[in-house]
Amino acid sequence: MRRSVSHRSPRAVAILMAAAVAVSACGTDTDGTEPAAPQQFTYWSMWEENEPQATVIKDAIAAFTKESGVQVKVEWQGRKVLQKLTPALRSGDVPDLVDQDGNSIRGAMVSNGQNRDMSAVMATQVPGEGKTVAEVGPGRYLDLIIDAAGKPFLVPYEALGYGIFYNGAKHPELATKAPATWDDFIAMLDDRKAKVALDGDIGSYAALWTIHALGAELGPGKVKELAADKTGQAWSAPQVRPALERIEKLAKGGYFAPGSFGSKFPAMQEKWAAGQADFLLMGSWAPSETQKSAPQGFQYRALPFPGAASVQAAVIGFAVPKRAAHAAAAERFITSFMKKERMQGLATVALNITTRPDIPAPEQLADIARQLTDKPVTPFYEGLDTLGTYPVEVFEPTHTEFLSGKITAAEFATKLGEKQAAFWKKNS
Amino acid sequence: MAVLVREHARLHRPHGPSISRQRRRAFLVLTLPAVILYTIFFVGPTLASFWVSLHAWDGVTEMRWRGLGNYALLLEDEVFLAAFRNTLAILLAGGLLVFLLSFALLLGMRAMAGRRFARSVIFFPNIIAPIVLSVLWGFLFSTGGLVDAALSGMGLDPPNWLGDHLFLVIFLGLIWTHTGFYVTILMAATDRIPRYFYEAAELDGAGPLQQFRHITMPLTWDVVSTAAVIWTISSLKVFDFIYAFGGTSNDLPPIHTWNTAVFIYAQTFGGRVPAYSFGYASASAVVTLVSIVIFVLLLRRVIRRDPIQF
Repeated sequence: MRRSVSHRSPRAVAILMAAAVAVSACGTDTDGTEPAAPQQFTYWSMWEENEPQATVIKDAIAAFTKESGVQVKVEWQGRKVLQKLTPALRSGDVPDLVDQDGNSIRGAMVSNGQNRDMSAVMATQVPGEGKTVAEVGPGRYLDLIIDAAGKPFLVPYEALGYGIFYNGAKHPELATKAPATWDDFIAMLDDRKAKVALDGDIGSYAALWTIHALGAELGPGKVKELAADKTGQAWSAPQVRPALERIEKLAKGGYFAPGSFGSKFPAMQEKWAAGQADFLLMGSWAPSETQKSAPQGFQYRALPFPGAASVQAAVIGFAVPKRAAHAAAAERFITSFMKKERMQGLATVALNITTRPDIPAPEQLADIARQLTDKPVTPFYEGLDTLGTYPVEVFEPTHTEFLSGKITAAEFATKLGEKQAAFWKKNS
Repeated sequence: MAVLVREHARLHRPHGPSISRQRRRAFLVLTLPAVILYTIFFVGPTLASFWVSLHAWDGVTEMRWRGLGNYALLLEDEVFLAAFRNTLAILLAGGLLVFLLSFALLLGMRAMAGRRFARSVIFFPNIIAPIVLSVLWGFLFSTGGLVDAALSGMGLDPPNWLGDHLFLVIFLGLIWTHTGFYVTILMAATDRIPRYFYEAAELDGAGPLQQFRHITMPLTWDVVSTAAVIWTISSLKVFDFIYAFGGTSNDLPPIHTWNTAVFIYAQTFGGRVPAYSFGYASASAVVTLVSIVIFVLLLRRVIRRDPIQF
């Protein structure tokens, strides 16, 4: 907050710098013609230098520099890259390329109009493949990466999906007989006397259950409409009731493993990996986070959320700030990174799901990757995390009370509605 | 220093004003760098925060004037009010407990063998990052953790510490980490007191409590009052110990555990998708700052005594 001080002088500096850049860049980048050598651009990465994703990107950068002569100045900023970007956006001294997940980019760059439209990049041919960037895979996630005007602000290279993880070695039959409906799912839990693990101290992890159930019941985009209702009364509507009652049954039925609402992350997911619980509703990072606790022979498998016609997904990708001085060079790199050979390492080295369906996902994420290919995608958290502090101030505190069985579905709807009305009054 | 210069000026006046003028000039020259730096890095940003608090601002686009609107909203914001209540609870109830505990330990350890070692042990949490202590503290109180095991061993039914009493757990943790610091300061102050005061008191038949009341307290009062001001300021700045209860580095702790420092972070850079509400956060920062100033002034007025020379 203290960084907010005295914004006038940085602006003057920014204008001078922009002028300097404009002069130096005349006839190069900005008009799309072949740049004069030597050229370079700056990339602020969401990865730390020692992460496997950074290794893959480093290799891609080396190959890009070799073929194009463009030098890439990388700063491995880590996950807080966008928090560091915000003051830079104000001063104008911005990097030319950043990466992060779509919703974070939306919050930090799109909502304030500081992003570049990626339509042209999406329509560019991937070198040597005869297909555009959108066509090789990223186009599938368009709904997650467009701004209010329908223009893409991100070129995604990695996809994250959600599923109910389990040990395939312990429950082999589920691979062929996944419960199709919620009732089937509960019956399956009853049959096996199975427990669900949850790190309930993280409000957004607890919320996964109810948000998925609501999304499955109401369809795409409807949960966000409930949250955006200024009166908060939408939560008491009859069509919301069935999903909430299902979750109430889950909450009060003793299905959650002991400690789910009284531990500190990552205690419960570790217990799950160690075999003390059977199921874990989590994102596709679950295997990499828990594999150290999993015994040998643990097979990561994931059930789709019962009854859901779509799959919640998030994407990680590249974005270019509006005032980037070397935008064209950065965009050229994005296009080159979309080559199959460059992205492959994300699956084989970093063990992630890429946005290219022709790159096989790592074995432990195969079930999630299949869902991402077969079903329509809907935003993670149904997009509630783009509503400012709404999730953490309004939804999650009330919801954790509900999921831990302290309040009923009806009480949840009323209490959430009241808090939501107060929140929107404050944020109108 | 100002006092010294004034004293000198008064003493040397008969020799002419030139020396005092020179000294005054030297004083100005010597203090100027500090004043300039302090103005740039503290006073300036503080005034700017106040200016920002009168606007709606996302940190990037132009600020929109809101007048006192942010302050009016704060007064109705249940989340902020709860955070403010927690801040006050840490400041007042926490302060009371920290000082009571410190005095009790002081009393117990005054004549104890190995007191220096004991003091080091109590001080130990102060040299470890609060975030590490917080993680450790959280695991101690987990369901089935060490605390639960100890209570079960005594035949008691442990409560759900982290689920139902998280703020209490954090509160106790803060007291645990801070007490050692104040014990160390107060012990250093009591070590200056000549032993013959206590010996004389013992001969007069005074017990430990009476010695504490009539010797230790009066002779360490100036240190106690400074320690109280330090507590006031540091308690309002408590952040990382609470923040670490947020699970991952992306997640904020549950709102019922927030103090105003966490609230400010949550309105700016905190959370998975940060809110970037710099105007609103600045307003809450200003309210916190004004509270600190009021509390420090009140505290100094309440505990002001003339120091006793010995």
